[in-house]
Amino acid sequence: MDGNKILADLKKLSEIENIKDVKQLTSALFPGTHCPLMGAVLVARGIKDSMVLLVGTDECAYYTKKMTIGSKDFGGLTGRCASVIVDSKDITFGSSEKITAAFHELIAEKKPSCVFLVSTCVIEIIGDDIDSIAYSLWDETSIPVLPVHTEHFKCVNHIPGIERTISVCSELMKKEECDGSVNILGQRSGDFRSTEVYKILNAEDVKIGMMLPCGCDVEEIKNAAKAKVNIVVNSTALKLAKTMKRKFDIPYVEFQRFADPEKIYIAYKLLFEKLDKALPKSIEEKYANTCAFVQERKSKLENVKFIYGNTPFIPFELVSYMSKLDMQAMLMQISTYTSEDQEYANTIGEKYNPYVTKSANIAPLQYVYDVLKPDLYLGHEFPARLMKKGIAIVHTDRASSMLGFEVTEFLIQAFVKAAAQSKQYKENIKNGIM
Amino acid sequence: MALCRYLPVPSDRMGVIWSLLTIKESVVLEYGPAGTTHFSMGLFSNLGIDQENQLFTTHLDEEDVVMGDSSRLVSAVKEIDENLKPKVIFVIASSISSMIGTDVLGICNTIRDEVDAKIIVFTEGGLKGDYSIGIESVYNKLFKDLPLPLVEVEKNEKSFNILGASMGEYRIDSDVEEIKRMMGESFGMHINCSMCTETSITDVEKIASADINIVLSFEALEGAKYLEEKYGIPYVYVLPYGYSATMKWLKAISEKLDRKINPIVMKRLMGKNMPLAMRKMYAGMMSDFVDSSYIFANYDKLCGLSDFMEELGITKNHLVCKHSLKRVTKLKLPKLDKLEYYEKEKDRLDVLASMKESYVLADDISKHLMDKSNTFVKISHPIMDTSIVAKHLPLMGERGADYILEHL
Repeated sequence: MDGNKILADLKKLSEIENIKDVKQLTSALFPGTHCPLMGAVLVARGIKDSMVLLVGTDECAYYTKKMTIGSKDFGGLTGRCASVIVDSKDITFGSSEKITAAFHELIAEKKPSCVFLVSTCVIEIIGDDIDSIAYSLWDETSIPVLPVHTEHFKCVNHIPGIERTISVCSELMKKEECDGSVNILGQRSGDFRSTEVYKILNAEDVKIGMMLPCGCDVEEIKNAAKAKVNIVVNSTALKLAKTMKRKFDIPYVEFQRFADPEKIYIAYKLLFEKLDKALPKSIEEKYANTCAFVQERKSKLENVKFIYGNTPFIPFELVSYMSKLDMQAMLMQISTYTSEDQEYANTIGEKYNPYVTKSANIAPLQYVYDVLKPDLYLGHEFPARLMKKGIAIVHTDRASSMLGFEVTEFLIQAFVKAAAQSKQYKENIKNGIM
Repeated sequence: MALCRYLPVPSDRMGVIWSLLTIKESVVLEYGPAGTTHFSMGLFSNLGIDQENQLFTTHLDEEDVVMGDSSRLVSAVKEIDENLKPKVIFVIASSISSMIGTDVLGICNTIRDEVDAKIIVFTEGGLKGDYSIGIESVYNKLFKDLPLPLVEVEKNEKSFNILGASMGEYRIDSDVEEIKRMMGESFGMHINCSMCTETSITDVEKIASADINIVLSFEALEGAKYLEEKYGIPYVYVLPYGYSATMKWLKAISEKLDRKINPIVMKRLMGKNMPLAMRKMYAGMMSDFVDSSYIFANYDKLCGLSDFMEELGITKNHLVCKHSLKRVTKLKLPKLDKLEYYEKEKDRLDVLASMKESYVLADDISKHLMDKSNTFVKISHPIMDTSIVAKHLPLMGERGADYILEHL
């Protein structure tokens, strides 16, 4: 494969107006994106007494169950994931009867507090009315049955599956009297209780309500409308926050995993405004300390070149912050491009003009590295393979359990460490050690 | 009884893909949603199958589904041909492409002349049956329907092929190593091509140069018959589970090739087999002798191991087949009347639940669900609690019999 040829087919950031302008590195993809079915399952994992009833081919069911067998949160082999296998007869005559029969078996054996009835590609193509099936089963048994549609051919990756599963939870909620608490919406990995934001809220005696999807039960979801404010820590929960604003008049604050301390500071201010509380002094101190922390290390990062892959951050927000640190983006791998991203893209464009491509296609990347010669790779790749090319991986998965200024400090440390590693790798290559 | 609580039986499409991925110098291109490909990586890694630069997907989006746009398949095939230069591109349909009626074969036919690689299309979209159907289809396609240029090469003297080794079988790498070891020691023969564990298109093309085909599963039987008819390569379809079956297997090969078996091997096997007769004799005299088993495996392993169990005096056996018996019935294979197949998971689990103080030779799921008074021996996928590292711990052949005996 010719890396130059691959890059020649890509557009640069300045030429991107919408996601249709973003091309794949190649038509043949490996490994390809995750599907929304996986996203739905990731959400259900955190809702302790819920069950997933997947309706799809044996292949979809096999891979999904296999994934959940290894998860303690899911209860392992006998845990909270079961399926209805659709065969050619069901495709011809419909799957409604089979789903109903399986559902009754399921509730007799497991007694779940809620069931996510998850449809997959096959069901969406034959047009079985999964919503009607779900709601009629709910009516019949009084066990909430929430339909989730996860056809992959209508969306780019697993994120819509996460969003739809979180959003459908609003159907469990009812109007409640406010108890002054805050709900945490959208954190799906890591424990919110370990974050800086939690510690600050705790110090200010702010009660934490529902944490959806990471660490709640169905009863907590039902009572979620008691909250005074919803904190949206990931955009996948924005739709739910908007629904709760409309249905229960609960305001929300977007406090995502920002990298830029300025964004974090603004998010804190907005949050305390909504809580009708004064901004704690500790936040001002943290802001100043973080800015100083960054300033002290900035020189080590100047002109470091990187490829953006996949991280627990907002891609454009992170890359725009890295541009502010004079770190040069060579290539960005993305799956969506929104109007909010445009603003960040403008900031990046003031200094750099990286190539942009769709994510989850690492096979042809190997040839691109030889052309772009980056120092760092942000995301999941094979470390040994990159090491031989002088590229260090920036490991950021640990940041899933972080929120607030701690994120910036973590990132800066990770960048500095990886930049030093990359220098060492290049030195080793030069000296014939690697 | 429509609920599937655990892992369903893998589909035809899964069997096709895990078989083809073992053939180097080829690329597997899935024409379907990318999520399935990404999701499958975990299973294939567990089975010990390398996917790097061999597995790709086109993905399918709404426009492709609604408008029938197949351009991404065409460009992916051309791109793979140009960039990776494989000898063969296997194009695999998906449930979606099957349902919307995409003529994957027709599309590929239109571009055959534009690419150097040979294109072989598998239309199994996961809806034609279970993995066994898929595996059989691989042999039929490769040897018959869309034959490769099985080149007339010089005879690879004293070599043999293995047909019907599937990466979906627990410890298949060890089984293949054991077959190689025993063929070497017994007849001084070496491997020519092992399908489908670790081979290449070049090896498949030279398959006709071997002296004999060793068939390890019924899925490869039609392929073996075809190679016999077309190239005159004899085949032996005897499963070497247990010492006496291993001797029978060696004798069958000896007869087909008119070659003597190394007497040291036969003497050793007979020596190991003798005490088994004693064990059977004492079985009737011991009140706590375990004489029942539940075996959960594919057809061939079931037949082989049940014979071995009977030799050991374990005569009350539930032989539960992992895959449908439709093809086994059609091929009129033996022991059919003794086999059980349960379309509904619950029925199979009920049989397992009824087993007490018996031997359970099965997969890890059965291990977790069985009554703890049973004695478990792992012989099937899926595995949950362990990984496979060794290639010297087979279930077949002499060492396989050693291994099983040590666990009973």
